[in-house]
Amino acid sequence: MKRLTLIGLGISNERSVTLQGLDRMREADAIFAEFFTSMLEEGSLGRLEEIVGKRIILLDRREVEEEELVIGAFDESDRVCLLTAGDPLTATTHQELRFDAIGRGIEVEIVHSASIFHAAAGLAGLQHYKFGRTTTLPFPEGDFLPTSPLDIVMENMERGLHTLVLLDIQADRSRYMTASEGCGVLLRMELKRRGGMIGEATMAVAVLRAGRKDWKVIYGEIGKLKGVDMGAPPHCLMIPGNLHFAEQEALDHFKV
Amino acid sequence: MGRREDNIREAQKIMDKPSYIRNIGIAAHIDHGKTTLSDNLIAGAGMMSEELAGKQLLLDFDEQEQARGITINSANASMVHTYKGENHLINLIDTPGHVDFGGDVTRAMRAVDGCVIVCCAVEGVMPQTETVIRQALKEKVKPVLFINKVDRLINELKVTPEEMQKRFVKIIKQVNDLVTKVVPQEFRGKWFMSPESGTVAFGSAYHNWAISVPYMQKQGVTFKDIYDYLNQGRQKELLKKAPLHQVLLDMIIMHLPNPVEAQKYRIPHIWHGDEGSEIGKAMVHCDPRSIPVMMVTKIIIDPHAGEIASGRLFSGTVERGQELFVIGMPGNARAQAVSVAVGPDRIPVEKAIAGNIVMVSGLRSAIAGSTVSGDPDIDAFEKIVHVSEPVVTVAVEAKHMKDLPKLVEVLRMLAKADPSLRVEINQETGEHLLSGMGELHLEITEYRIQKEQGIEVKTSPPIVVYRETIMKRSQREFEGKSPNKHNRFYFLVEPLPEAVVNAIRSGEIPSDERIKDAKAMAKQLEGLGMEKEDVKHVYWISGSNIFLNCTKGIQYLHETRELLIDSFKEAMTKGPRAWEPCMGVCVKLMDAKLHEDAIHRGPGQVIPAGRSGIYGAMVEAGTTLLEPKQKIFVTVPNELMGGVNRELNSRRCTIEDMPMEGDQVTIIAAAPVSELFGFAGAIRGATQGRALWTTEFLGFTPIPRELLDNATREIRTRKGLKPEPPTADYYSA
Repeated sequence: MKRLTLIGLGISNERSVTLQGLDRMREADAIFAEFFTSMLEEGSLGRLEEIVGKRIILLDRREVEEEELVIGAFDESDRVCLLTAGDPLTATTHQELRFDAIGRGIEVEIVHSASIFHAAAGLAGLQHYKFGRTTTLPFPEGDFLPTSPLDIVMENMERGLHTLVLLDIQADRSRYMTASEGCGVLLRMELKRRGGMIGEATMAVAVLRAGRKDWKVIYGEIGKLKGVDMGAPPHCLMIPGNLHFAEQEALDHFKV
Repeated sequence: MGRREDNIREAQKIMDKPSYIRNIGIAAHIDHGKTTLSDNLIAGAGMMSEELAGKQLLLDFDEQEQARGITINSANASMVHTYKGENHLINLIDTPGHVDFGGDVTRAMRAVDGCVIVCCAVEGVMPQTETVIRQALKEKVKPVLFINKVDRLINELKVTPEEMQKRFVKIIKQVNDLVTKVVPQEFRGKWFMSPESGTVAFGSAYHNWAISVPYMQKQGVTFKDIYDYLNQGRQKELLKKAPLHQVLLDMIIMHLPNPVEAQKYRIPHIWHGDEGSEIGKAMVHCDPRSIPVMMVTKIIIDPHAGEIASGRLFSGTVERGQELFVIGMPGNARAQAVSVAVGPDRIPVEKAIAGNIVMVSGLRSAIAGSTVSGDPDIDAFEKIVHVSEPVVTVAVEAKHMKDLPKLVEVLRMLAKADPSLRVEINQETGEHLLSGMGELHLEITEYRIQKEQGIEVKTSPPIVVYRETIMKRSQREFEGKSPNKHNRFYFLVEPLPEAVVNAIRSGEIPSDERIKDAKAMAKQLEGLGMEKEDVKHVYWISGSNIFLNCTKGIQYLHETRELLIDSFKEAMTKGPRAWEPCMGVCVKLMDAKLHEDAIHRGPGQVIPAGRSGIYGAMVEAGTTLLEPKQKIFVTVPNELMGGVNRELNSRRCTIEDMPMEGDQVTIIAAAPVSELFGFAGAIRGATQGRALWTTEFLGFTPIPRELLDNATREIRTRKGLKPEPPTADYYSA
């Protein structure tokens, strides 16, 4: 039976994949990878190719979503892997792919791995029990500045919950929203939306390069974070709700 | 010579007294004698020698114009005339009569307050006569009438005095009937033209005489006298007794409004900013002490001075060196030079005040239609509406590669100077595509690139620009999916009522701009026959297509609004059949299912989803091509009619009417633009050059069924697409 394996690479580098993932890659006829929703350390993919001893074909969003190259590969192959940073089923597109494959009689196997969803909270010392809905800030373009992410932050705040705020990645254009840009976008949304709950003085947490050696957490006012050079991507933001004393103590370690 | 300098000095004096200024246009059907009239007026006012006038065609100073004997550019001139002992300044804009240049007429009308409609006594009211009258009234420009070529009536057609009278009455009635039909409410009855009131004059521009009832009374001349003079070949004497410029300039000063009067009612009509604001009041009162506001109506390309913006100054004073802003464009500009016109000359001045027609150089980002002001934040003037749309395209290529950068620059400049030209780059082939109003329009443009700019170019044979539309409504909602499959949009399409399409194309309903008053728009659309429920939320109008949001209460939908509008615009500029622009399509968004997180419904997801949803719905409804048609008028001696008919029949023309006039017949036919290429040569051959012909844009009609598939394949192949258009399945995948 044909088999598609969706493999999470974790959030660090070629070494954050699980041994199970590595096994599957070694058995595969074709290996694809996509990084349009996340990224690993530079050069990870090349080093992974060396470890596995096979070529890994990098796909962009179009090739996965519109040209459906992964399913197409089964015309010639029985065992296909798709690698993705983080955990494989968090990406919207891969759910689509998963059930499409099943519908075509292809077995689907999942190899999980670490995801930013847990890493970010943990690094900053926030308790993951207390998170509300997650949201993503898109790069504003022309008139396109959706304000629903701000609504979600406010909704969570009202209920005393933390918000994980992911930041736009446009891999095809090599654009990765930084945490400081993200703070600026939040303030712009507030200017448009006038919800009255977020401002320069609201406290926020920037989690930088989670999973890497040079990871960093910064805790401070949005107005202040907006002007801080945060270094290389990937970044994400968290807006804390009501803080447990243990959370507060943790955050104070990272205060600027 | 001396008189000319005096006049310039005098003109500069009057420039500062707006109530002594008249800004007027001269408009007519092609060949009815506008340019001859303008020249003789200028000559009469001492701006050129009387001998030359009428032969030299002073305003047709473009080499190309003189060679073709038609006016292409709207040229400016000013002259001084004494009326009741006081000097007046008349700024004159001559406008083209050929239909291919209709855009220029519309723009010229914005700059003027009054207009002399010239109508040939022999030919009578012609289609372009009606068009120019409509254009004038639309801009609230007051008309007076000059019936030209009266001498030909008597000398060539040998009509009796009674017949002459009858012809005049007929022309005046036709003109008045049209005016009554389209005149703005407030002027109904007031802008009625009659010989008795002095708003109609008769004469011969070529032979330099004219007569009006007030002038006859003053000089004691009668119609009978005129008839006798002409009948006895004593036209020269008439010239002394009733000089053209005297009669016409008197009429202009007496009956056409000065800027101070005219701006009171014209400003609220052409400028929709706050009338109570300082700028609003200044324009209404033509106040020279306020901030300058100018409407650019033409860009003149001067080999030495570069681009010069010509237009009407409605308030304030422009001075050399002044800081100015082109509204809607970033940055500021400086008025490098300010000038006013006399014939082909531009006379530099230090400053000019409100009410004048001025030319300003140094405004690089200005195009015909721009609003220029000393205040960057004022509201722009109403868009100048021109109903014709480009229908013919040629690909232009530099003969020598080294000329390419220059060609790009020249094309950009030409498109700025003439907004009815469109320049695009074919992304596939890298060719420059030049689209215009007709074959002649593009030939002239090519001539300019070659002769005036000195770039040798190769052009492709002309190609017709078709439109795409749907013939009936789609039967079911078509689902457009985003690439990640997590957003779905549901569309219906239906043909727009014709009244709505016409209202958009005539500019009554603005398109391609933000909808300012949604309620008023809904009312207007409902009045034109659309469903009340449908028009509550008009998302956008693009070309003559409407995008309606018929959904209710969908969370986050508003965040995808701009993106859906983008996909609508894209689909309407490039229809599903052959990537030709769409026309008369109503797109209704019926439902939408959106992903929770904004990142998964960004531009990369929503735009393709909207586009394929709209395309799919159109394909299911059934698409077709519309071809542009022209109305063609061929006047020939009776005996040559057969040849003309044969020529027309071989070009898929339908003959609509054939009115006879003496031994002449005018054949009126509807002709597809695609069949008219090379018509000029063919008709010359068929009639030994004795046919006079003009065309008028008629509109778009569905291409015959038997030609549809071939035309589609041809266009698609030319554009590098697969010859067969995709089916609906392609868009639902």
